[in-house]
Amino acid sequence: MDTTTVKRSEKKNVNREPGPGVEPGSSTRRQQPGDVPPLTSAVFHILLALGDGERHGYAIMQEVARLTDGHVQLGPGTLYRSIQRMLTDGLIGECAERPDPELDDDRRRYYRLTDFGKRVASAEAERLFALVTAARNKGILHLPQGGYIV
Amino acid sequence: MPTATRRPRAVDWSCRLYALLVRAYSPHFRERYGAEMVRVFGDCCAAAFQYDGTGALLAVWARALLDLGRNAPADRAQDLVRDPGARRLLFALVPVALLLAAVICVADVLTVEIQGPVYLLLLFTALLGLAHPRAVNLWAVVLGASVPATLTLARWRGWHLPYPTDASTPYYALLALVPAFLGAHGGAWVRRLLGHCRANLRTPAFVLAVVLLGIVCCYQGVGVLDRKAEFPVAKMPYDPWHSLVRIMDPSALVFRLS
Repeated sequence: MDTTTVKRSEKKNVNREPGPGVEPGSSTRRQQPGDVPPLTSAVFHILLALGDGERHGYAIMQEVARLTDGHVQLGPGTLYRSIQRMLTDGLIGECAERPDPELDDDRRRYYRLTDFGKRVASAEAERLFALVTAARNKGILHLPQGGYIV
Repeated sequence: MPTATRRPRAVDWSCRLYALLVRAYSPHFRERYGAEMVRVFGDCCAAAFQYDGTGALLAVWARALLDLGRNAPADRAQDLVRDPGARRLLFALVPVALLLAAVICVADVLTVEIQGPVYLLLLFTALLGLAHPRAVNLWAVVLGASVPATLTLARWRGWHLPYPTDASTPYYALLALVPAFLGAHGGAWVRRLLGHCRANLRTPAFVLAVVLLGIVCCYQGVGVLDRKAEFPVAKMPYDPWHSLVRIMDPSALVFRLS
């Protein structure tokens, strides 16, 4: 992706994703998951919420609440500040295509996970999995009857 | 377009009020996400109101206010740090504060009061903490060492330093360390405070607070001058504990008012 394309897409404020794993503003270096600062809880939840498809802000909030049984409820400020940071880091992108205006409010912005975002989410999930495994090995985590870790 | 459904009045008013509150965020952020935030908040309110009426709506409001209180200052602070103009202003303020602090320190050592330099040191070290958090640690060490060193030198050379600097006690050194460490370790806190100030800069409450603070400062200044006239400084009894209370306790003003 050349610089002109990046600049034009930034100006339009759509398709902000500069390409899978490519740092915004640079055209060559592939970003590694380790390049991104440690994920906050809100960012990881948003990544999870976008894991199975694009969503708008309110749908992300609802999905996060559903995934956590209502224990995590993102406020608008936390949600959009996280989205701002994630767009900058290239973890998510804004969808240029909108759903049918008959079905939804066309003023809503939809967000989707980028390839880089998927890799970062995967790395974070693996890190958490390793922690859970360590907790289980040390006898800190007692899984309920029938619970298992593969 | 989806069919427009009429929202309850409480939800409509909530959206309008929240749209006003969103102004607490930086213009850059607001321009990009403000409308979306209001829309999302409206959706939350409508869903909560439909689910459980006013109680649920109030719960949404409580969460939104907490969210706003947590994120708006952080966003403002982030904006402040990113803004080159504001950064230049901060860097310009540091030498000005240093110069002012130095001048008043000298003037105060030669005259009377130590409160002035302490407050100015607080301001200076806070600004230094903003600009150079690492350098301010060195500043704290220098400051901590310089006060007893100056007092020892004065005693050794037989210089007469008027009250209260005359008292060669580690108390003042300790007192001077407070702003130094505040500046060194309170950089993030000060940034947040500046964010709050900028966020509220144009609100009537902030303007009123500044005016009240100004009146209080003027009154306190006049009170100090009156006290100086009433009790010549050289004859005032020395009491470190009283000085500490007088410097740290704003209720002294209440006493003066009474």
